[in-house]
Amino acid sequence: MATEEKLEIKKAGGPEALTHFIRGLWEENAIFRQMLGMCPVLAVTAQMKPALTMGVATTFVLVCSNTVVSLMRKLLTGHLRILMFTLTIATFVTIADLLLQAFLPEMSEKLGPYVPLIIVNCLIIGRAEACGSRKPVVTSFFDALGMGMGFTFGLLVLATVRELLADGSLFGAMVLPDAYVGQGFNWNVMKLPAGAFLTLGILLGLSNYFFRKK
Amino acid sequence: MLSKFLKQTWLVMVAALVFGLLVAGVHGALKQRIADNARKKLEGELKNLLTKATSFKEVKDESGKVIYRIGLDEQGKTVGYALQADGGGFADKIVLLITLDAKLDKLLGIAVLKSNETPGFGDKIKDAPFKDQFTNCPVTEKLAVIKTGDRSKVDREIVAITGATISSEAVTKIVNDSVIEMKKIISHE
Repeated sequence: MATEEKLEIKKAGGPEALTHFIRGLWEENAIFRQMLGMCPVLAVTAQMKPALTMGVATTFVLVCSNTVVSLMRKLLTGHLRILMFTLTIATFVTIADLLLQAFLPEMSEKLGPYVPLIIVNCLIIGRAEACGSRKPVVTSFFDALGMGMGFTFGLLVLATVRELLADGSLFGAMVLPDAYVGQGFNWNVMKLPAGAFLTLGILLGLSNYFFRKK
Repeated sequence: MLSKFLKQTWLVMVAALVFGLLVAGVHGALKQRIADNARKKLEGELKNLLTKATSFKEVKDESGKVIYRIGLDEQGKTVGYALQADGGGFADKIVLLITLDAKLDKLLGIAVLKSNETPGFGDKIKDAPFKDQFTNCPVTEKLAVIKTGDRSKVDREIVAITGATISSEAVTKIVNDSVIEMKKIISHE
């Protein structure tokens, strides 16, 4: 009886999908645990708005490509695998780029070449390989959603630190007193690549520490 | 042989067709919006640079493409000209909006409409310190790019961006070529 029930749940993609989703948020977080897709992490997190846009765009591509790959996973034999992954991901990144150009032109301009570069984000092809090509559609969908949200969360954490210290603002709205920028107490280095590496390094160290404590 | 070939490639061909149609569909649906966004940006920059103009007259060529725009004030007097020009940058094409005064002997300023230069380096052509050098620049002779100097001096020398010589030179070249073209067009009218 119990085994039959388990099989039923497995078929529906119940707890497996949920497990994947929750794992993607923190335990297997793309940035802090897997360290995939580092390029946009360092490049677009100088401010929160572009970071959020990048996170949502990547999540969109992740979810769409993982779902499509999962739908055709039985057909991906031999060397067709990587070819089809790339084809699928490229299609959805192009669509995401067009959507950004149409509905968020300033963000599209701000993010510039990093939107087409989502195609080479290792996170997306990594999940297609590890999950999309092996698991049923519902699981793949929630895995992608969890990974994407975890990635966005990581981007936002970095962007919060950097924007706060460099501009004294969050999402463009001044949070720290005006004297912070006016008197020059702000850390301009946080806007530059050096600041990105510093912040990422410290956050990675902290997250490793907390994981070890568990 | 054909069946072996088809067995291995049918999925790729079908996917390519489906995805191609999908991208083409999205592109077609959003094309107008994207064009509107570009036009809004252009109009914003026009107003920004030709501040004295209250209206703009478009001068088109035979195919209907806008060659340049004339800025007019309330009395209909010409306040300046605006020309869109592009050229090769370091990474990709750079599209500029160049504005000249009515007498064509100085620039009123430039705006970068489209560029894909290296972030942090060539990207700085969009920022005020570099871009503002072109405001009120005399264009009786060609502008020249120099490596170090005083950016606030209003003269025909443009101080390049450190680490982005090619982008800086590309912008200056586009400006120079456009000024020559503009002078040619106006002198023929």
